[in-house]
Amino acid sequence: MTINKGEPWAFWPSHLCDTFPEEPGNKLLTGEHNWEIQLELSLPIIREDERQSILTLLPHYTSFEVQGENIYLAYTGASGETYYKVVKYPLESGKRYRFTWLHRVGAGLLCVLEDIQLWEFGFKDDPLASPNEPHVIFGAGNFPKNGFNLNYTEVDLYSFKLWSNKKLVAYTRFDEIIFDKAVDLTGNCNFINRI
Amino acid sequence: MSINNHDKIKEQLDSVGCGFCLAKWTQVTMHLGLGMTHSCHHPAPHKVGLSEIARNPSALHNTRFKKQVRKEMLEGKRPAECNYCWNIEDSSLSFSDRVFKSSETWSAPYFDEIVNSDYRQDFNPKYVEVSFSNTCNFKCMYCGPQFSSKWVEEVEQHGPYPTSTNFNGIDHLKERDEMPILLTEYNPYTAAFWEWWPDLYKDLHTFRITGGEPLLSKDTFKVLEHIQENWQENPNLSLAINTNMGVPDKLMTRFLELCKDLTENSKVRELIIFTSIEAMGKQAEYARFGLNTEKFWFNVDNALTLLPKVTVNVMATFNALSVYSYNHLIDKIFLLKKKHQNDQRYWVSAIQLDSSYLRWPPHLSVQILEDKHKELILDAAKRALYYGIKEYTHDNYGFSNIEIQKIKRIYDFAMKKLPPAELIQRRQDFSKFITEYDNRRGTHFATTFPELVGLWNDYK
Repeated sequence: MTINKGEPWAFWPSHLCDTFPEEPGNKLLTGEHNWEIQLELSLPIIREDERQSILTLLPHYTSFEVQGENIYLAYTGASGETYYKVVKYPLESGKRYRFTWLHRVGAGLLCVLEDIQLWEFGFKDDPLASPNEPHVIFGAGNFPKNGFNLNYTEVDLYSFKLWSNKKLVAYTRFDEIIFDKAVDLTGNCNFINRI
Repeated sequence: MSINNHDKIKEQLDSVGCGFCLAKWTQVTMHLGLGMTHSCHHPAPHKVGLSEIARNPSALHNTRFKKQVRKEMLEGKRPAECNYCWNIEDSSLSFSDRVFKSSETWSAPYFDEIVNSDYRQDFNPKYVEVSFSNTCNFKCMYCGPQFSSKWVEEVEQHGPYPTSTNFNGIDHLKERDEMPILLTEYNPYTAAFWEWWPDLYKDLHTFRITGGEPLLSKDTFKVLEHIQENWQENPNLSLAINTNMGVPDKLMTRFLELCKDLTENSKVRELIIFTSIEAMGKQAEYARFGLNTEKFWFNVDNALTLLPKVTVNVMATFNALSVYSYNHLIDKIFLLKKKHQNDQRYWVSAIQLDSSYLRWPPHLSVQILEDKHKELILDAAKRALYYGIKEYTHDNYGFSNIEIQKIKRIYDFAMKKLPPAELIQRRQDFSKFITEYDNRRGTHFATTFPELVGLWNDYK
């Protein structure tokens, strides 16, 4: 599925209905849980002069971005402080990559591209933040209505998986779309939807 | 309305008495075809005395019995008939309907007036629901003689259904003088209503017409025509009408003409059409006997086309026979939401699906089903979720938070295990009921619900 520039999607299954799904996957994405996100993607264009936000975890800003030959990673701890890391790693436009965030309680957030460990944000005294309604944005750094840190990008998404304690709780291949929602193949209703 | 506001209302009510509830004054449902009345739905309706309404037509609401109950409330007591709320208040910290209904815009402003009144005083209610008669062209399987003249005919011919409850028997109604008055007979309650109506109309916040089938009653049209002519007396009325969307075309056309005038010319504050269906196709027609689904959906679509401001609320009484086609019903509702979305609808969406679980009769409850069939209810909830929208505004179409939750909680209700003996009894009743239903009506359960043939046969 292609996300057009300026038309981001979100993983926030708890935001439609107060009580259903009963265990929405987005609520796992905090410092209090062990979780792993794996995203298969490709970038049609890589720009030298524009930051391109591929994956952003909010409200505790944690992100995977690209600009030119660099990958930009961010992580926000429970203290509210955001930590940044730049890794020189030129991506190829059109090539398919697998990006992984692996979070272990007490051990930090590991950022992996294919099998290469890009960086580990391991702050024992500043674990990943744990807000009430964590959510993920694809193709932007923020919701359009907020008007800042948008860093829109086009991106082709092939699959999204979320594990919690090694159990697959969300999986979409983006090939079945119902009313602007990519269907979660696990049956847990952890869909990804157009914003 | 915020929790803080409900806290304040409760405090205010309790300052009068722990059983004080404004709805006993401000709300009424009148079953004119039965001569019965109650304020909210929780207490059982009681008979209205003919001598009372002969002296005072507002005794359709201000009965001697109700005035005694009001007296109890004003004296700080808890009337026994209102124990639905006492059960909630005594067993939890939740607010009961006593608080919610007293908080409504049709109740709260009248607090001082009511508290300072004498219990013998009459009070014009602000939220009125009326059923003029039980005349109906349907006999839905979960309905009964009090609300359907077709059911009366069937039971008078064939007797009650041979279930453990003698389902829909009418002997007890005859003994208690609660048999419906025929539309063709003189009805003193309807006469009293019309005597009261000019005075009642101007004070109304909400007026809802139910039945029977309201569009088969001349009184329904008389009300609509009165509002059409005298709307200046009450331009802020919330009007609601129930209809099965299956009446003769002439009546439907006239009804829609009246609705168009009332809404296009702002003669009411809002107009909502309530209808019912809880399955699709032949399965819907089986349960709602008399329904023609093609005609039903044509009428719904036509109403939404002709009346761009009106919202149609589909009351789905979700029962054991709903599970196999509810997904298709959700799809249909979604398409209508999409087609008829605009920025004028009174209740935002063109059409809403209001899913409630059936409790009576128990032999048709979803709780009789096997778990594999109950899972279909969860599938339906998931489907509604995928059609969901975050913000319920005129800019969007889709299923709201509440529409989705209502389906999901039916699944939760279905999954509650019944005691084994009760489950067996209900399934046996189901089997007997279906066998008799097919015999009387010429329907064919086995071809309509092949999924349930096993259950039906196992408990014969």
